[in-house]
Amino acid sequence: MAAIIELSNVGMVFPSVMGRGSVRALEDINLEFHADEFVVALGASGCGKTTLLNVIAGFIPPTSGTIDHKGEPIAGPGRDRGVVFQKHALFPWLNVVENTEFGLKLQGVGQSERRRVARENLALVGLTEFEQHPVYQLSGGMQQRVGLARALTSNPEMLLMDEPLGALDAFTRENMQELILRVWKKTGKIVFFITHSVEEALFLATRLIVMSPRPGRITHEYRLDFSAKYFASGNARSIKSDPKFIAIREEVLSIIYGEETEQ
Amino acid sequence: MFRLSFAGRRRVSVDPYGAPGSGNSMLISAVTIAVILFAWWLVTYLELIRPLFLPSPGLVFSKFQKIACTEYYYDMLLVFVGARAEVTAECAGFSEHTLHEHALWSLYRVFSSFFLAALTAVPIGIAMGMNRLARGVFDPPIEFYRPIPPLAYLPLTIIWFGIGDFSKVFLIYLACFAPIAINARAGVRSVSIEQIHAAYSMGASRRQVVWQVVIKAALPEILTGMRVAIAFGWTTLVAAEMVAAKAGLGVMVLNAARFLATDIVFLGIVVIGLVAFLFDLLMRWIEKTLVPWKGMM
Repeated sequence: MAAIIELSNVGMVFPSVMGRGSVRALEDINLEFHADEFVVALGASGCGKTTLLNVIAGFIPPTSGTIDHKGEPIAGPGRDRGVVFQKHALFPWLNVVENTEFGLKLQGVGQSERRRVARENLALVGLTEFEQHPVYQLSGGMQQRVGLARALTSNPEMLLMDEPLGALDAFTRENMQELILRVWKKTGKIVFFITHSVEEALFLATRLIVMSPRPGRITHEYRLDFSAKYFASGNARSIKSDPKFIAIREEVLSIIYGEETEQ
Repeated sequence: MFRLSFAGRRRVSVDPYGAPGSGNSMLISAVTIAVILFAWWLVTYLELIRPLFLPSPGLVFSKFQKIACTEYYYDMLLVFVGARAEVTAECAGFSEHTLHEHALWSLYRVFSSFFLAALTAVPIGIAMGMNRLARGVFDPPIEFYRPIPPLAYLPLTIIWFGIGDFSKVFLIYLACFAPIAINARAGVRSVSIEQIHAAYSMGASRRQVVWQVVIKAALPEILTGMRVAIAFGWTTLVAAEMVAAKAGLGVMVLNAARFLATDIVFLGIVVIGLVAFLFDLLMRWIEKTLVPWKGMM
């Protein structure tokens, strides 16, 4: 199966600031994204996860290597890659539905058509009743759902999610994980998801990449099927407490802790 | 909650470990105003201070009636409804103008200056926030003139633009310009990088990012700048009207001071203060209506 997004030998060096040495945020990253994949990047702070996402999104050009979208090099951000951020990304001057339809409005899509698409996506994330609410009155979890609906409304091929659940409480977080899986299953988007929660990563990913810092690179890769098991059983907790799940969780944790203690 | 704040019960703080200074202070402010007015009245009633230094509230009010020509306009009203044949009360005003004429002249000067300042300072401030060149060009002159008291460059505006209304409007314009420009510039900085990135990844052009994200995000601070600016405008008014103005609240105060008419000085101060306060209330209402998300995200 051909890769939709392909990173070859991507490196990112941030120049030195105030006499301190330059930072090798990413080194020799080779990564492919195929249709229907849910790729999760996991790693300690400073391992270059967010830089990797920013490079794929097109916000910063890599200092070396290439990123191709179906064979064409990526030059900057684009509608084919929607982004969901951890926070501070909604527009408080717009209400829920206006935030959601923002991308279509930019493209000049007429009011009734863009409302229709925005409402479809709000229904998908369970916010139908809140479409007229101001976003600044919503809870953190609901704000993230608006962010997800907004990214979906531009109908991207890929969703880039930068620790979207990082600022939420544990209960909301687990519910949101299930919601994100359902949305992924239903829409068939490629997802690239960043987290520093091992449990979250294992539960969501079809492919997990573990990154290590200085220089940021991919050290381990896992193919996982816990999300498929979740779709079969519908019980998230039983999957997360399954002995197999726990065994991989401890293995991944020891990789991350191992790197921490090396320094 | 409201009941708890009244005296007569054991003093209970509604929220002892909440943020300091929370709660409504309207009632307290009303009491403060009443106490000040009462003290003013009491001191003058007991003749503790001579009227030359502190005229009584009654005296100031009667000056208000005289200069505002309240009786004259009341007569006119009676004639209009047919209750009286002709206007008998006289209308003298002060410095050849009634109070509302003075007030309208001042309002015209302050607001034409304010609107000109808003029209120019908002785009310049936004440009300064978004463009290195604009920031480099406009930063030195604005930061240089901003702390200089308007009285210091008043003579210069008169030498350059004469004693007409233009130099007065220009002086107030300068006072309004800096706070609007500086706040607009800061407002541009308050947009989050996530908001900008989100817009770009939804296919926004640079132009769309500027118009539909940056300027919207800057709006709360632009409005704060305008609120500060209008207050600066009133502060500068008296200075602007010092030279060769025929009418205006500043002129009224200055002329009255020349004749030691302290009561009229008081009247002028009270009117300027009230008008400025009312416009501040209006600005606050506009803020609440236009940018209800201010401080919420």
